[in-house]
Amino acid sequence: MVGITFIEQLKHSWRQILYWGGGLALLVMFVMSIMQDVAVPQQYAEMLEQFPPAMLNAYGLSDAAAIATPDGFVSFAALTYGTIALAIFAVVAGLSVTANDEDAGIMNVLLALPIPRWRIIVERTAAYALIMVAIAMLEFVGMFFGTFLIPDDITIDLSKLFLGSLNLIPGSLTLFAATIFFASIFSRKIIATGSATALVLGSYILNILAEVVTEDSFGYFLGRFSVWKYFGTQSVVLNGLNYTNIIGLLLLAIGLVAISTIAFERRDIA
Amino acid sequence: MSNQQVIQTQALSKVYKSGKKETLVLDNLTLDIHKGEIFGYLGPNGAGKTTTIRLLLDLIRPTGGSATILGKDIRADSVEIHRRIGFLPGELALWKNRTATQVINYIASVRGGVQQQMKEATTLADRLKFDMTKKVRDYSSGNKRKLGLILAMMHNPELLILDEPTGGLDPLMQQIFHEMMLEVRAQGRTVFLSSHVLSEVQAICDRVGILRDGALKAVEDVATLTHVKFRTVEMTFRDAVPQAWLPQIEAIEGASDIETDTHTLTVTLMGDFDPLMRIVSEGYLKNLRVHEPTLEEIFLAYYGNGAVVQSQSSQKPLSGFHRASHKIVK
Ligand SMILES: Nc1ncnc2c1ncn2[C@@H]1O[C@H](COP(=O)(O)OP(=O)(O)O)[C@@H](O)[C@H]1O
Ligand SMILES: [Mg+2]
Repeated sequence: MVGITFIEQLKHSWRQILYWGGGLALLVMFVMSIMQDVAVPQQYAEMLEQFPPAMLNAYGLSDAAAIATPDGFVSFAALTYGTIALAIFAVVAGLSVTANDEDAGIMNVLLALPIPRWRIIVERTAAYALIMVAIAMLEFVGMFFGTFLIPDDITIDLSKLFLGSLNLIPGSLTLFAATIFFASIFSRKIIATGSATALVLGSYILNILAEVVTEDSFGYFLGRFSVWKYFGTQSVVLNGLNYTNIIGLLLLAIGLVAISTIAFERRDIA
Repeated sequence: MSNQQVIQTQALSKVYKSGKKETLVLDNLTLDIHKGEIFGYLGPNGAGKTTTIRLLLDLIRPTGGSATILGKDIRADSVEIHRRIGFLPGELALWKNRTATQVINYIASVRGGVQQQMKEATTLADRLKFDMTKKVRDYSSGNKRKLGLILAMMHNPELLILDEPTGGLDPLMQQIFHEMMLEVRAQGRTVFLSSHVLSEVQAICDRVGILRDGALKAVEDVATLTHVKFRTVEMTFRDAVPQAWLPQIEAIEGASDIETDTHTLTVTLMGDFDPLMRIVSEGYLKNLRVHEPTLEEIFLAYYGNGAVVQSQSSQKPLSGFHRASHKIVK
Protein backbone atom coordinates (compact mmCIF):
# COMPACT_ATOMS: atom_id res chain seq x y z
CA MET A 1 0.00 0.00 0.00
CA VAL A 2 1.16 3.50 -0.80
CA GLY A 3 3.05 5.24 1.98
CA ILE A 4 3.54 2.16 4.15
CA THR A 5 7.24 1.97 3.43
CA PHE A 6 7.60 5.72 3.97
CA ILE A 7 5.98 5.44 7.40
CA GLU A 8 7.95 2.28 8.23
CA GLN A 9 11.18 4.07 7.44
CA LEU A 10 10.27 7.07 9.59
CA LYS A 11 9.21 4.79 12.41
CA HIS A 12 12.59 3.10 12.48
CA SER A 13 14.80 6.08 11.67
CA TRP A 14 13.30 9.12 13.36
CA ARG A 15 15.67 8.72 16.29
CA GLN A 16 18.47 9.71 13.93
CA ILE A 17 16.98 13.19 14.09
CA LEU A 18 17.71 13.23 17.80
CA TYR A 19 21.20 11.81 17.49
CA TRP A 20 22.39 13.96 14.62
CA GLY A 21 20.24 17.07 15.06
CA GLY A 22 20.45 16.97 18.84
CA GLY A 23 24.20 16.52 18.68
CA LEU A 24 24.55 19.47 16.36
CA ALA A 25 22.29 21.61 18.53
CA LEU A 26 24.41 20.90 21.61
CA LEU A 27 27.56 21.69 19.67
CA VAL A 28 26.09 24.99 18.50
CA MET A 29 25.08 25.93 22.02
CA PHE A 30 28.58 25.15 23.21
CA VAL A 31 30.08 27.39 20.49
CA MET A 32 27.72 30.20 21.40
CA SER A 33 28.46 29.91 25.09
CA ILE A 34 32.10 30.76 24.34
CA MET A 35 31.10 34.08 22.87
CA GLN A 36 30.74 36.10 26.04
CA ASP A 37 32.09 39.27 24.43
CA VAL A 38 31.76 40.96 21.00
CA ALA A 39 35.53 40.95 20.87
CA VAL A 40 35.62 37.18 20.56
CA PRO A 41 34.49 36.97 16.93
CA GLN A 42 36.70 39.93 16.01
CA GLN A 43 39.75 38.30 17.54
CA TYR A 44 38.97 35.09 15.68
CA ALA A 45 38.61 36.98 12.41
CA GLU A 46 41.95 38.75 12.91
CA MET A 47 43.64 35.50 13.72
CA LEU A 48 42.14 33.74 10.72
CA GLU A 49 43.22 36.53 8.37
CA GLN A 50 46.80 35.35 8.92
CA PHE A 51 45.91 31.97 7.46
CA PRO A 52 46.30 31.16 3.76
CA PRO A 53 42.96 31.39 1.92
CA ALA A 54 43.05 27.72 0.96
CA MET A 55 43.04 26.75 4.59
CA LEU A 56 40.14 29.00 5.40
CA ASN A 57 38.34 27.48 2.49
CA ALA A 58 38.91 24.05 3.85
CA TYR A 59 36.77 25.19 6.74
CA GLY A 60 34.17 26.61 4.42
CA LEU A 61 35.18 30.21 4.94
CA SER A 62 35.76 32.38 1.92
CA ASP A 63 36.43 35.60 3.74
CA ALA A 64 37.73 35.90 7.30
CA ALA A 65 35.88 39.20 7.75
CA ALA A 66 32.62 37.29 7.45
CA ILE A 67 33.06 35.93 10.93
CA ALA A 68 33.89 39.22 12.62
CA THR A 69 30.23 39.74 13.52
CA PRO A 70 28.41 37.57 16.07
CA ASP A 71 26.02 36.23 13.38
CA GLY A 72 28.94 35.44 11.14
CA PHE A 73 30.86 33.77 13.91
CA VAL A 74 27.96 31.57 14.97
CA SER A 75 27.01 30.66 11.47
CA PHE A 76 30.59 29.88 10.57
CA ALA A 77 31.20 27.63 13.52
CA ALA A 78 27.78 26.06 13.64
CA LEU A 79 27.06 25.69 9.98
CA THR A 80 30.46 24.24 9.19
CA TYR A 81 29.74 21.45 11.62
CA GLY A 82 26.24 21.18 10.21
CA THR A 83 27.53 20.90 6.66
CA ILE A 84 30.01 18.20 7.51
CA ALA A 85 27.56 16.28 9.67
CA LEU A 86 24.84 16.40 7.04
CA ALA A 87 27.25 15.40 4.27
CA ILE A 88 28.16 12.30 6.30
CA PHE A 89 24.53 11.67 7.12
CA ALA A 90 23.67 11.99 3.43
CA VAL A 91 25.93 9.06 2.62
CA VAL A 92 24.72 7.00 5.59
CA ALA A 93 21.09 7.64 4.68
CA GLY A 94 21.71 7.10 0.97
CA LEU A 95 23.08 3.66 1.69
CA SER A 96 20.01 2.86 3.79
CA VAL A 97 17.68 3.32 0.85
CA THR A 98 18.68 0.15 -1.01
CA ALA A 99 22.32 -0.79 -0.40
CA ASN A 100 22.04 -1.96 3.22
CA ASP A 101 19.06 -4.22 2.62
CA GLU A 102 20.52 -5.55 -0.60
CA ASP A 103 23.83 -6.27 1.08
CA ALA A 104 22.07 -8.07 3.93
CA GLY A 105 19.88 -10.12 1.59
CA ILE A 106 16.70 -8.47 2.86
CA MET A 107 15.85 -7.19 -0.63
CA ASN A 108 14.93 -10.77 -1.52
CA VAL A 109 12.09 -10.63 0.98
CA LEU A 110 11.08 -7.06 0.23
CA LEU A 111 10.97 -7.35 -3.55
CA ALA A 112 9.00 -10.57 -3.41
CA LEU A 113 6.17 -8.44 -2.00
CA PRO A 114 3.65 -6.62 -4.17
CA ILE A 115 5.63 -3.39 -4.28
CA PRO A 116 7.49 -2.08 -7.32
CA ARG A 117 11.17 -1.39 -6.87
CA TRP A 118 10.86 2.30 -7.67
CA ARG A 119 8.45 2.81 -4.83
CA ILE A 120 10.87 1.46 -2.29
CA ILE A 121 13.37 4.07 -3.46
CA VAL A 122 10.88 6.92 -3.60
CA GLU A 123 9.22 6.25 -0.23
CA ARG A 124 12.46 5.72 1.65
CA THR A 125 14.06 8.72 -0.03
CA ALA A 126 11.15 10.88 1.03
CA ALA A 127 11.43 9.64 4.60
CA TYR A 128 15.14 10.38 4.82
CA ALA A 129 14.74 13.75 3.12
CA LEU A 130 12.29 14.67 5.85
CA ILE A 131 14.74 13.46 8.49
CA MET A 132 17.50 15.60 6.98
CA VAL A 133 15.30 18.68 7.00
CA ALA A 134 14.50 17.95 10.63
CA ILE A 135 18.20 17.62 11.51
CA ALA A 136 18.94 21.00 9.93
CA MET A 137 16.01 22.54 11.77
CA LEU A 138 17.10 21.01 15.06
CA GLU A 139 20.45 22.66 14.57
CA PHE A 140 18.63 25.96 14.24
CA VAL A 141 16.76 25.18 17.47
CA GLY A 142 20.20 24.81 19.06
CA MET A 143 21.11 28.29 17.78
CA PHE A 144 17.89 29.67 19.13
CA PHE A 145 18.56 28.33 22.62
CA GLY A 146 22.19 29.39 22.27
CA THR A 147 21.08 33.03 22.17
CA PHE A 148 20.08 32.69 25.81
CA LEU A 149 23.65 31.75 26.67
CA ILE A 150 25.25 34.92 25.36
CA PRO A 151 25.28 38.36 27.02
CA ASP A 152 22.42 40.73 26.19
CA ASP A 153 24.66 43.31 24.56
CA ILE A 154 25.58 40.89 21.79
CA THR A 155 22.83 40.94 19.21
CA ILE A 156 22.29 38.00 16.97
CA ASP A 157 20.09 38.05 13.91
CA LEU A 158 18.24 34.74 14.19
CA SER A 159 16.62 35.12 10.78
CA LYS A 160 20.05 35.00 9.16
CA LEU A 161 20.95 31.90 11.13
CA PHE A 162 17.67 30.35 10.08
CA LEU A 163 18.47 30.96 6.43
CA GLY A 164 21.91 29.49 7.01
CA SER A 165 20.34 26.35 8.47
CA LEU A 166 17.90 26.10 5.58
CA ASN A 167 20.77 26.37 3.19
CA LEU A 168 22.27 23.16 4.56
CA ILE A 169 19.41 21.18 3.09
CA PRO A 170 19.75 21.36 -0.73
CA GLY A 171 23.45 20.45 -0.83
CA SER A 172 23.06 17.52 1.54
CA LEU A 173 20.03 16.28 -0.38
CA THR A 174 22.14 16.28 -3.52
CA LEU A 175 24.85 14.19 -1.86
CA PHE A 176 22.10 11.93 -0.50
CA ALA A 177 20.66 11.50 -4.00
CA ALA A 178 24.11 10.84 -5.43
CA THR A 179 24.62 8.04 -2.90
CA ILE A 180 21.25 6.53 -3.81
CA PHE A 181 22.32 6.71 -7.43
CA PHE A 182 25.58 4.86 -6.78
CA ALA A 183 23.73 2.17 -4.85
CA SER A 184 21.25 1.82 -7.69
CA ILE A 185 23.89 1.09 -10.28
CA PHE A 186 26.34 -0.94 -8.18
CA SER A 187 24.96 -4.06 -6.55
CA ARG A 188 27.93 -4.27 -4.21
CA LYS A 189 27.60 -2.01 -1.20
CA ILE A 190 31.31 -1.47 -0.81
CA ILE A 191 31.55 0.01 -4.30
CA ALA A 192 28.54 2.25 -3.73
CA THR A 193 29.98 3.40 -0.39
CA GLY A 194 33.39 4.03 -1.92
CA SER A 195 31.92 6.03 -4.80
CA ALA A 196 29.79 8.19 -2.52
CA THR A 197 32.69 8.83 -0.14
CA ALA A 198 34.94 9.69 -3.05
CA LEU A 199 32.35 12.15 -4.31
CA VAL A 200 31.97 13.89 -0.96
CA LEU A 201 35.71 14.10 -0.28
CA GLY A 202 36.59 14.77 -3.92
CA SER A 203 34.24 17.68 -4.33
CA TYR A 204 35.29 19.03 -0.95
CA ILE A 205 38.91 19.12 -2.10
CA LEU A 206 37.94 20.37 -5.53
CA ASN A 207 36.11 23.25 -3.91
CA ILE A 208 39.14 24.24 -1.86
CA LEU A 209 41.46 24.07 -4.85
CA ALA A 210 39.11 26.04 -7.07
CA GLU A 211 39.15 28.93 -4.61
CA VAL A 212 42.90 29.40 -4.76
CA VAL A 213 43.36 29.25 -8.52
CA THR A 214 42.59 32.00 -11.02
CA GLU A 215 39.10 32.29 -12.45
CA ASP A 216 40.12 31.38 -16.01
CA SER A 217 41.91 28.18 -15.02
CA PHE A 218 40.67 24.66 -15.51
CA GLY A 219 40.71 24.07 -11.76
CA TYR A 220 38.23 26.89 -11.26
CA PHE A 221 36.04 25.41 -13.96
CA LEU A 222 36.15 22.02 -12.25
CA GLY A 223 35.26 23.63 -8.97
CA ARG A 224 31.90 24.53 -10.39
CA PHE A 225 31.09 20.83 -10.33
CA SER A 226 31.70 20.58 -6.63
CA VAL A 227 28.52 20.30 -4.64
CA TRP A 228 30.27 22.01 -1.76
CA LYS A 229 30.65 25.22 -3.72
CA TYR A 230 26.91 25.58 -3.61
CA PHE A 231 26.56 24.98 0.10
CA GLY A 232 27.82 28.56 0.45
CA THR A 233 27.06 28.87 4.14
CA GLN A 234 28.91 32.13 4.73
CA SER A 235 27.52 34.00 1.82
CA VAL A 236 24.02 33.17 3.04
CA VAL A 237 24.62 35.14 6.21
CA LEU A 238 26.09 38.02 4.20
CA ASN A 239 23.87 37.95 1.13
CA GLY A 240 20.84 35.78 1.88
CA LEU A 241 19.78 32.62 0.08
CA ASN A 242 20.97 32.01 -3.46
CA TYR A 243 17.85 30.66 -5.09
CA THR A 244 19.58 29.68 -8.32
CA ASN A 245 21.94 27.42 -6.43
CA ILE A 246 19.15 25.97 -4.32
CA ILE A 247 16.88 25.21 -7.24
CA GLY A 248 19.81 23.80 -9.19
CA LEU A 249 20.81 21.48 -6.37
CA LEU A 250 17.26 20.32 -5.74
CA LEU A 251 16.69 19.61 -9.43
CA LEU A 252 19.94 17.68 -9.55
CA ALA A 253 18.84 15.66 -6.52
CA ILE A 254 15.45 14.88 -8.02
CA GLY A 255 17.06 13.95 -11.32
CA LEU A 256 19.48 11.59 -9.61
CA VAL A 257 16.70 9.86 -7.70
CA ALA A 258 14.69 9.50 -10.91
CA ILE A 259 17.63 7.91 -12.70
CA SER A 260 18.20 5.68 -9.67
CA THR A 261 14.68 4.25 -9.86
CA ILE A 262 15.27 3.35 -13.50
CA ALA A 263 18.74 1.89 -12.92
CA PHE A 264 17.59 -0.14 -9.92
CA GLU A 265 14.60 -1.46 -11.84
CA ARG A 266 16.77 -2.80 -14.62
CA ARG A 267 19.42 -4.76 -12.81
CA ASP A 268 19.73 -8.06 -10.97
CA ILE A 269 19.41 -7.95 -7.20
CA ALA A 270 22.53 -9.31 -5.55
CA MET B 1 -5.61 -23.88 -20.84
CA SER B 2 -2.83 -22.05 -19.07
CA ASN B 3 -4.91 -21.41 -15.98
CA GLN B 4 -4.30 -24.98 -14.87
CA GLN B 5 -0.56 -24.33 -15.11
CA VAL B 6 0.49 -22.31 -12.13
CA ILE B 7 4.07 -21.92 -13.29
CA GLN B 8 5.16 -22.23 -16.89
CA THR B 9 8.71 -21.65 -17.98
CA GLN B 10 9.79 -21.56 -21.60
CA ALA B 11 13.49 -22.12 -22.29
CA LEU B 12 14.37 -20.03 -19.25
CA SER B 13 18.13 -19.41 -19.10
CA LYS B 14 20.50 -17.48 -16.92
CA VAL B 15 24.10 -16.60 -17.57
CA TYR B 16 26.04 -14.85 -14.83
CA LYS B 17 28.68 -12.49 -16.09
CA SER B 18 31.55 -11.38 -13.94
CA GLY B 19 34.17 -9.52 -15.88
CA LYS B 20 34.90 -11.57 -18.99
CA LYS B 21 33.78 -14.82 -17.39
CA GLU B 22 30.34 -16.11 -18.24
CA THR B 23 28.72 -18.99 -16.40
CA LEU B 24 25.61 -20.71 -17.64
CA VAL B 25 23.72 -21.43 -14.43
CA LEU B 26 20.32 -22.29 -15.87
CA ASP B 27 20.08 -23.89 -19.27
CA ASN B 28 16.80 -23.67 -21.19
CA LEU B 29 14.47 -24.68 -18.39
CA THR B 30 11.07 -25.68 -19.70
CA LEU B 31 8.77 -26.78 -16.92
CA ASP B 32 5.08 -26.74 -16.05
CA ILE B 33 3.78 -26.77 -12.52
CA HIS B 34 0.15 -27.82 -12.24
CA LYS B 35 -2.47 -26.30 -10.02
CA GLY B 36 -2.90 -28.12 -6.73
CA GLU B 37 0.31 -30.09 -6.75
CA ILE B 38 3.35 -30.14 -4.52
CA PHE B 39 6.32 -30.04 -6.81
CA GLY B 40 9.79 -30.91 -5.59
CA TYR B 41 12.64 -29.19 -7.34
CA LEU B 42 15.53 -31.39 -6.50
CA GLY B 43 19.21 -30.94 -7.06
CA PRO B 44 22.57 -30.77 -5.33
CA ASN B 45 24.02 -27.51 -4.07
CA GLY B 46 24.93 -25.25 -6.94
CA ALA B 47 22.53 -26.93 -9.37
CA GLY B 48 20.66 -23.69 -10.01
CA LYS B 49 17.57 -24.09 -7.82
CA THR B 50 17.86 -20.73 -6.10
CA THR B 51 18.66 -19.09 -9.42
CA THR B 52 15.46 -20.49 -10.90
CA ILE B 53 13.42 -19.25 -7.98
CA ARG B 54 15.01 -15.79 -8.08
CA LEU B 55 14.20 -15.60 -11.78
CA LEU B 56 10.58 -16.52 -11.13
CA LEU B 57 10.36 -13.77 -8.50
CA ASP B 58 11.84 -11.17 -10.85
CA LEU B 59 14.75 -10.57 -8.48
CA ILE B 60 17.11 -11.40 -11.32
CA ARG B 61 16.44 -11.27 -15.04
CA PRO B 62 16.66 -14.13 -17.50
CA THR B 63 19.32 -14.16 -20.19
CA GLY B 64 16.86 -16.01 -22.37
CA GLY B 65 13.39 -17.49 -22.37
CA SER B 66 10.29 -16.46 -20.47
CA ALA B 67 7.95 -17.62 -17.77
CA THR B 68 4.47 -17.07 -16.45
CA ILE B 69 3.07 -17.49 -12.97
CA LEU B 70 -0.71 -17.81 -12.58
CA GLY B 71 -0.92 -16.91 -16.26
CA LYS B 72 0.93 -13.61 -15.80
CA ASP B 73 4.32 -12.66 -17.16
CA ILE B 74 6.97 -12.77 -14.44
CA ARG B 75 8.58 -9.56 -15.67
CA ALA B 76 5.68 -7.34 -16.68
CA ASP B 77 3.20 -8.41 -14.01
CA SER B 78 5.53 -9.04 -11.10
CA VAL B 79 3.63 -6.86 -8.62
CA GLU B 80 0.33 -8.60 -9.36
CA ILE B 81 2.03 -12.01 -9.13
CA HIS B 82 3.69 -11.14 -5.83
CA ARG B 83 0.31 -10.31 -4.35
CA ARG B 84 -0.81 -13.88 -4.97
CA ILE B 85 2.26 -15.87 -3.99
CA GLY B 86 4.24 -16.53 -0.85
CA PHE B 87 8.00 -16.87 -0.91
CA LEU B 88 10.48 -18.32 1.52
CA PRO B 89 14.08 -17.56 0.59
CA GLY B 90 16.77 -20.15 1.13
CA GLU B 91 18.69 -17.84 3.40
CA LEU B 92 16.17 -15.66 5.12
CA ALA B 93 17.54 -12.25 6.08
CA LEU B 94 15.45 -9.66 7.92
CA TRP B 95 16.04 -6.47 9.84
CA LYS B 96 17.95 -7.68 12.88
CA ASN B 97 16.79 -5.01 15.31
CA ARG B 98 13.10 -5.42 14.70
CA THR B 99 10.86 -7.87 16.46
CA ALA B 100 9.12 -10.62 14.55
CA THR B 101 5.81 -8.88 15.25
CA GLN B 102 7.11 -5.65 13.70
CA VAL B 103 8.35 -7.48 10.62
CA ILE B 104 5.11 -9.42 10.24
CA ASN B 105 3.13 -6.23 10.63
CA TYR B 106 5.13 -4.33 8.04
CA ILE B 107 5.01 -7.11 5.47
CA ALA B 108 1.30 -7.58 6.05
CA SER B 109 0.70 -3.89 5.53
CA VAL B 110 2.66 -3.80 2.29
CA ARG B 111 0.40 -6.59 1.06
CA GLY B 112 -2.72 -4.98 2.49
CA GLY B 113 -5.26 -6.52 4.84
CA VAL B 114 -3.21 -6.36 8.01
CA GLN B 115 -5.78 -7.66 10.50
CA GLN B 116 -6.57 -10.82 8.62
CA GLN B 117 -2.91 -11.59 8.08
CA MET B 118 -2.00 -10.89 11.70
CA LYS B 119 -4.71 -13.32 12.75
CA GLU B 120 -3.43 -15.98 10.41
CA ALA B 121 0.16 -15.27 11.53
CA THR B 122 -0.84 -15.85 15.14
CA THR B 123 -2.46 -19.15 14.24
CA LEU B 124 0.61 -20.24 12.32
CA ALA B 125 2.90 -19.15 15.15
CA ASP B 126 0.90 -21.22 17.63
CA ARG B 127 1.12 -24.21 15.43
CA LEU B 128 4.86 -23.83 14.85
CA LYS B 129 5.42 -22.99 18.53
CA PHE B 130 6.96 -19.71 17.53
CA ASP B 131 7.33 -16.75 19.90
CA MET B 132 6.75 -13.58 17.86
CA THR B 133 7.91 -11.09 20.47
CA LYS B 134 11.67 -11.46 20.11
CA LYS B 135 14.01 -9.51 17.94
CA VAL B 136 15.11 -11.08 14.70
CA ARG B 137 18.73 -11.18 15.85
CA ASP B 138 17.77 -13.38 18.80
CA TYR B 139 16.20 -16.20 16.81
CA SER B 140 17.98 -19.45 16.05
CA SER B 141 18.13 -20.51 12.43
CA GLY B 142 15.25 -22.90 12.98
CA ASN B 143 13.10 -20.15 14.45
CA LYS B 144 14.01 -17.82 11.62
CA ARG B 145 12.79 -20.50 9.22
CA LYS B 146 9.50 -20.57 11.10
CA LEU B 147 9.22 -16.81 10.84
CA GLY B 148 9.92 -17.11 7.13
CA LEU B 149 7.16 -19.67 6.76
CA ILE B 150 4.72 -17.44 8.61
CA LEU B 151 5.60 -14.51 6.35
CA ALA B 152 5.18 -16.69 3.28
CA MET B 153 1.88 -18.22 4.35
CA MET B 154 -0.04 -15.65 6.39
CA HIS B 155 -1.90 -14.24 3.38
CA ASN B 156 -3.03 -17.68 2.18
CA PRO B 157 -1.39 -17.35 -1.24
CA GLU B 158 -2.40 -19.42 -4.23
CA LEU B 159 1.18 -20.48 -4.80
CA LEU B 160 4.00 -21.07 -2.33
CA ILE B 161 7.55 -20.88 -3.61
CA LEU B 162 9.83 -22.27 -0.94
CA ASP B 163 13.60 -22.50 -1.26
CA GLU B 164 14.84 -25.39 0.87
CA PRO B 165 12.07 -24.89 3.43
CA THR B 166 12.99 -27.47 6.04
CA GLY B 167 16.67 -26.67 6.46
CA GLY B 168 17.22 -25.99 10.16
CA LEU B 169 13.85 -27.35 11.27
CA ASP B 170 13.90 -30.15 13.79
CA PRO B 171 12.15 -33.44 12.87
CA LEU B 172 8.99 -32.58 14.79
CA MET B 173 8.70 -29.23 13.02
CA GLN B 174 9.41 -30.91 9.69
CA GLN B 175 6.45 -33.14 10.38
CA ILE B 176 4.26 -30.13 11.09
CA PHE B 177 5.59 -28.48 7.96
CA HIS B 178 4.66 -31.55 5.92
CA GLU B 179 1.16 -31.49 7.34
CA MET B 180 0.83 -27.82 6.50
CA MET B 181 1.89 -28.44 2.92
CA LEU B 182 -0.61 -31.25 2.54
CA GLU B 183 -3.35 -28.92 3.83
CA VAL B 184 -2.31 -26.27 1.35
CA ARG B 185 -2.65 -28.84 -1.41
CA ALA B 186 -6.00 -30.01 -0.08
CA GLN B 187 -7.24 -26.44 -0.49
CA GLY B 188 -6.30 -26.57 -4.16
CA ARG B 189 -3.29 -24.37 -3.70
CA THR B 190 0.10 -25.12 -5.20
CA VAL B 191 3.55 -25.60 -3.70
CA PHE B 192 6.86 -25.34 -5.51
CA LEU B 193 9.67 -26.29 -3.19
CA SER B 194 13.33 -26.83 -3.77
CA SER B 195 15.33 -29.33 -1.84
CA HIS B 196 18.47 -31.35 -1.85
CA VAL B 197 16.93 -33.87 0.52
CA LEU B 198 15.36 -36.72 -1.39
CA SER B 199 13.52 -38.29 1.48
CA GLU B 200 11.65 -35.09 2.09
CA VAL B 201 10.64 -34.73 -1.53
CA GLN B 202 9.63 -38.36 -1.54
CA ALA B 203 7.51 -37.84 1.55
CA ILE B 204 5.38 -34.92 0.43
CA CYS B 205 5.77 -34.19 -3.27
CA ASP B 206 3.48 -35.29 -6.06
CA ARG B 207 6.03 -34.70 -8.75
CA VAL B 208 9.70 -34.14 -8.75
CA GLY B 209 12.09 -32.51 -11.17
CA ILE B 210 15.79 -33.20 -10.99
CA LEU B 211 18.16 -30.40 -11.79
CA ARG B 212 21.85 -30.92 -12.23
CA ASP B 213 24.36 -28.32 -13.42
CA GLY B 214 21.57 -26.02 -14.50
CA ALA B 215 19.86 -28.60 -16.67
CA LEU B 216 16.58 -30.32 -15.92
CA LYS B 217 17.38 -34.01 -16.07
CA ALA B 218 14.00 -35.49 -15.39
CA VAL B 219 10.46 -34.77 -14.30
CA GLU B 220 8.40 -37.60 -12.95
CA ASP B 221 5.54 -38.54 -10.68
CA VAL B 222 6.83 -39.63 -7.32
CA ALA B 223 4.22 -42.40 -7.30
CA THR B 224 5.43 -43.76 -10.63
CA LEU B 225 8.96 -43.84 -9.38
CA THR B 226 8.33 -45.42 -6.02
CA HIS B 227 6.14 -47.96 -7.74
CA VAL B 228 9.29 -49.52 -9.11
CA LYS B 229 10.07 -52.20 -6.57
CA PHE B 230 13.64 -53.22 -6.25
CA ARG B 231 16.10 -53.42 -3.41
CA THR B 232 19.68 -54.17 -2.79
CA VAL B 233 20.44 -57.34 -0.88
CA GLU B 234 23.72 -57.63 0.94
CA MET B 235 24.70 -61.00 2.37
CA THR B 236 27.75 -61.80 4.47
CA PHE B 237 28.91 -65.43 4.65
CA ARG B 238 31.23 -67.15 7.07
CA ASP B 239 33.22 -68.66 4.18
CA ALA B 240 34.24 -67.24 0.86
CA VAL B 241 31.45 -66.84 -1.67
CA PRO B 242 31.67 -69.73 -4.16
CA GLN B 243 32.23 -68.50 -7.70
CA ALA B 244 29.85 -71.19 -8.91
CA TRP B 245 26.88 -69.21 -7.53
CA LEU B 246 27.41 -66.26 -9.77
CA PRO B 247 26.15 -67.64 -13.09
CA GLN B 248 23.13 -69.08 -11.28
CA ILE B 249 22.31 -65.74 -9.66
CA GLU B 250 22.79 -63.93 -12.94
CA ALA B 251 20.20 -66.25 -14.39
CA ILE B 252 17.56 -65.07 -11.92
CA GLU B 253 15.09 -62.80 -13.62
CA GLY B 254 15.30 -59.31 -12.13
CA ALA B 255 18.73 -59.74 -10.58
CA SER B 256 21.47 -57.34 -11.55
CA ASP B 257 24.57 -55.57 -10.35
CA ILE B 258 26.00 -58.65 -8.77
CA GLU B 259 29.13 -57.96 -6.79
CA THR B 260 31.26 -60.17 -4.58
CA ASP B 261 33.97 -59.37 -2.11
CA THR B 262 35.25 -62.69 -0.66
CA HIS B 263 32.65 -62.98 2.12
CA THR B 264 29.99 -60.62 0.91
CA LEU B 265 27.62 -60.79 -1.96
CA THR B 266 25.57 -57.86 -3.17
CA VAL B 267 22.68 -58.19 -5.58
CA THR B 268 20.08 -55.75 -6.76
CA LEU B 269 16.89 -57.64 -6.89
CA MET B 270 13.52 -57.08 -8.45
CA GLY B 271 10.88 -59.68 -7.80
CA ASP B 272 10.84 -62.41 -5.19
CA PHE B 273 13.60 -63.44 -2.80
CA ASP B 274 13.07 -67.17 -3.12
CA PRO B 275 15.21 -67.97 -6.21
CA LEU B 276 18.15 -66.20 -4.61
CA MET B 277 17.72 -67.87 -1.22
CA ARG B 278 17.68 -71.34 -2.81
CA ILE B 279 21.04 -70.71 -4.49
CA VAL B 280 22.78 -69.42 -1.38
CA SER B 281 21.18 -71.81 1.10
CA GLU B 282 24.18 -74.16 1.15
CA GLY B 283 26.40 -71.40 2.53
CA TYR B 284 26.47 -70.31 6.20
CA LEU B 285 24.82 -66.88 6.19
CA LYS B 286 26.09 -64.61 8.96
CA ASN B 287 24.29 -61.44 8.10
CA LEU B 288 21.62 -60.24 5.72
CA ARG B 289 20.77 -56.66 4.94
CA VAL B 290 18.07 -55.46 2.60
CA HIS B 291 18.33 -51.88 1.49
CA GLU B 292 15.30 -50.13 0.03
CA PRO B 293 16.28 -47.85 -2.84
CA THR B 294 16.29 -44.12 -2.39
CA LEU B 295 14.56 -41.91 -4.90
CA GLU B 296 17.96 -41.12 -6.27
CA GLU B 297 18.72 -44.74 -6.99
CA ILE B 298 15.33 -45.19 -8.55
CA PHE B 299 15.98 -42.21 -10.76
CA LEU B 300 19.31 -43.55 -11.83
CA ALA B 301 17.81 -46.92 -12.51
CA TYR B 302 14.95 -45.34 -14.38
CA TYR B 303 16.88 -43.04 -16.60
CA GLY B 304 20.35 -44.46 -16.64
CA ASN B 305 23.15 -42.27 -15.58
CA GLY B 306 22.93 -38.64 -16.62
CA ALA B 307 20.36 -39.21 -19.34
CA VAL B 308 18.54 -36.04 -20.28
CA VAL B 309 14.92 -36.94 -20.25
CA GLN B 310 11.79 -35.06 -19.56
CA SER B 311 9.00 -37.53 -19.49
CA GLN B 312 5.68 -36.91 -17.85
CA SER B 313 4.04 -40.23 -18.64
CA SER B 314 5.98 -42.64 -20.80
CA GLN B 315 7.16 -45.76 -19.04
CA LYS B 316 10.78 -46.45 -19.68
CA PRO B 317 11.97 -50.04 -19.81
CA LEU B 318 13.92 -50.87 -16.71
CA SER B 319 17.08 -51.98 -18.38
CA GLY B 320 20.10 -52.72 -16.26
CA PHE B 321 19.99 -51.16 -12.82
CA HIS B 322 22.91 -49.02 -11.91
CA ARG B 323 24.25 -49.11 -8.46
CA ALA B 324 23.95 -45.64 -7.09
CA SER B 325 27.58 -44.81 -7.07
CA HIS B 326 26.81 -41.33 -8.34
CA LYS B 327 25.40 -39.19 -5.64
CA ILE B 328 22.75 -36.73 -6.59
CA VAL B 329 22.80 -35.41 -3.12
CA LYS B 330 25.83 -33.86 -1.57
N1 LIG C 1 25.29 -13.72 -8.50
C1 LIG C 1 25.98 -14.76 -8.98
N2 LIG C 1 27.04 -14.58 -9.79
C2 LIG C 1 27.72 -15.63 -10.28
N3 LIG C 1 27.42 -16.90 -10.04
C3 LIG C 1 26.38 -17.17 -9.25
C4 LIG C 1 25.59 -16.12 -8.68
N4 LIG C 1 24.61 -16.67 -7.94
C5 LIG C 1 24.78 -18.01 -8.04
N5 LIG C 1 25.84 -18.30 -8.82
C6 LIG C 1 26.29 -19.66 -9.19
O1 LIG C 1 25.24 -20.30 -9.84
C7 LIG C 1 25.21 -21.68 -9.52
C8 LIG C 1 23.84 -22.06 -9.04
O2 LIG C 1 23.60 -21.47 -7.81
P1 LIG C 1 22.22 -21.62 -7.05
O3 LIG C 1 21.12 -21.28 -7.97
O4 LIG C 1 22.33 -20.85 -5.79
O5 LIG C 1 22.21 -23.19 -6.74
P2 LIG C 1 21.33 -24.02 -5.70
O6 LIG C 1 20.29 -23.14 -5.13
O7 LIG C 1 20.77 -25.15 -6.51
O8 LIG C 1 22.27 -24.54 -4.66
C9 LIG C 1 26.29 -21.89 -8.49
O9 LIG C 1 27.41 -22.46 -9.13
C10 LIG C 1 26.60 -20.51 -7.99
O10 LIG C 1 27.93 -20.42 -7.62
MG1 LIG D 1 20.00 -22.66 -3.14
